[in-house]
Amino acid sequence: MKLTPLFLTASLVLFFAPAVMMAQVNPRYWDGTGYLSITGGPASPGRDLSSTTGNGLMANNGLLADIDYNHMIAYGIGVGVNLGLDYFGMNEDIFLERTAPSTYNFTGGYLSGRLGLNLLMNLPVEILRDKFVLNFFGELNGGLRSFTIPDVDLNYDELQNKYTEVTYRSRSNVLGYAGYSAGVQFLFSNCWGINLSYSALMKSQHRIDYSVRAVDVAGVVTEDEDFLSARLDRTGIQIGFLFIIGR
Amino acid sequence: MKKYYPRNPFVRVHKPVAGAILLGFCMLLLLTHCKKEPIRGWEYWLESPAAPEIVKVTPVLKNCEPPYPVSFTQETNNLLGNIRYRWSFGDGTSSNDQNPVHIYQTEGLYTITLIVSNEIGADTLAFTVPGLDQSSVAVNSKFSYSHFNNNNFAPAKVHFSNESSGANQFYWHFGDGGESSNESPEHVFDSPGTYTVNLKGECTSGESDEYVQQIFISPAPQRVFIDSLNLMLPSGYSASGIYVEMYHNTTYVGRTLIVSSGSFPLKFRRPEDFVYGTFFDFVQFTANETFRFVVLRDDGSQYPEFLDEFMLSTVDIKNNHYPNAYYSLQTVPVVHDLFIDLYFSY
Repeated sequence: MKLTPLFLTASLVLFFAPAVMMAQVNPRYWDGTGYLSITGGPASPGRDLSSTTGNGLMANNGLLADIDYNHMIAYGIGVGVNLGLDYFGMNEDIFLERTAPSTYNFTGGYLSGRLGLNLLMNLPVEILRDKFVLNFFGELNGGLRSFTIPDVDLNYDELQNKYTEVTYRSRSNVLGYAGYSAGVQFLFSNCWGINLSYSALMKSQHRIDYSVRAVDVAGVVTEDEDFLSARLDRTGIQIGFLFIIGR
Repeated sequence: MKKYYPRNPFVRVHKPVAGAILLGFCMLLLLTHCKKEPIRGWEYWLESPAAPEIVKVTPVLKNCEPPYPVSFTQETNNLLGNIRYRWSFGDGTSSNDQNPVHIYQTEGLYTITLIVSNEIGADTLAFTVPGLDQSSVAVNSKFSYSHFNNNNFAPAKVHFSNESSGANQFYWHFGDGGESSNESPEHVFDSPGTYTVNLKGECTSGESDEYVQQIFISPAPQRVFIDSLNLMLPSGYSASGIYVEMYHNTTYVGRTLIVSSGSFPLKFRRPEDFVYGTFFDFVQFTANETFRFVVLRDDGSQYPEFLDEFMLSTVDIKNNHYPNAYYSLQTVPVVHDLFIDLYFSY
């Protein structure tokens, strides 16, 4: 039989029809319960973070990881806490193109830890009662995040640069952040589930302090405090598991 | 009067909580979106090294009558790469020596040109030699001195720089019984004290001049204080308990406080950041004496984790030279104590 779009559509409708027919939106599904979710996935840095122009931070695509505990109060509305991590590698090629050192060493990348609160809204759809629930959710979150830059050590020939050693080290940076995520959860047996969502940290400009130590050819050490200033937004996909508590 | 409770439990119990959270979000959004400094990227610390720069040339006549041997001593900054010196003596001759000696057979007004160059650039200086256009010049004896490796602790080696003009024979008396007829000798003073050094310069006509200067040789310091200790570590060691133990030969001297910091370098300042001792006592400045700094991490276990150690010898301290070459001497010891700042990089 030839596979046509019509045939495919018909097959999907027939396959899901029984489930859809039995589906029941239950806004009180979550009442008084909560869940612990552990997710991770790819992350993309925002425009300033990833930009390779003069003021860009030259971050590569990276990873995100989150642990959330959310407690649902009523009617799908809940609050919770979030512990997260974002990591972006440094685009070393561009950085080296600009700095042109003789030898170099990069350690780590852009690392951001997050601790925040969640405010979320769920729309649970019971497909098979007590067996399989489809939960659509949207979540606002905000809190504090740390942000550190990679350790960078550059060495130059004395004819190439006045400073033969340049060392960049991050200072401690604590910033505020706000973000959101939205997606779908596949819940099984009112016990556990699979999370699939889109996550974003919104655009907000921050100052990231770091220290530079430069040694010139005469061995004179210059220590300087400097900073980056950029919008630290990012987007990402969260894939993971969740475990229902209190149901 | 009976108090009103809404039927909806969410509204009754959680309304204030939800309101507070919503307010918090709004404030957070406001804070995180405030306009701050302009967008700013990395600063690259790139600066072209400076080209050679001739600071001065010191010409010295080495006789009181023609023919005049003239020694040229140049002082040039920014000596990087392959340095070339080109001298034109104004009488049709030239040299590529760094500090040449040239003999002018007759008196005259000669314009001398020096060009110092390397891969980065060049600098030029043209000058004349005072007295070279005269049939005779006076003998003028003079010298300066410097302590070898900046060390004026006894026993101290002193280098004498002869700055006489018009003379070509020299007689030195160092004040401790030592003598020399070298033009610019070196002499070792074995004991501390004040010495009167005499230089007599003489030229071929028999004319002479004498110059006298006193030299002070200090007694060796007994104690070496660690004024500050700056430690650069990889970021992997941030926020972990780091401290430094100090040993003089095999004797434990003391240690720093245990610090946990999110950023480097770690800075330990005397005396508040040190426990037990901040100085090495009874320093003899002998060849086999060692000063050891052990960097440790206190990870809560029974034994701390060893990270690295830095060794200094007495020569390092006397020469003001430390591993990784970052140092500064704060106080020249006249009261038998030495104060040093250390910069370590792991």
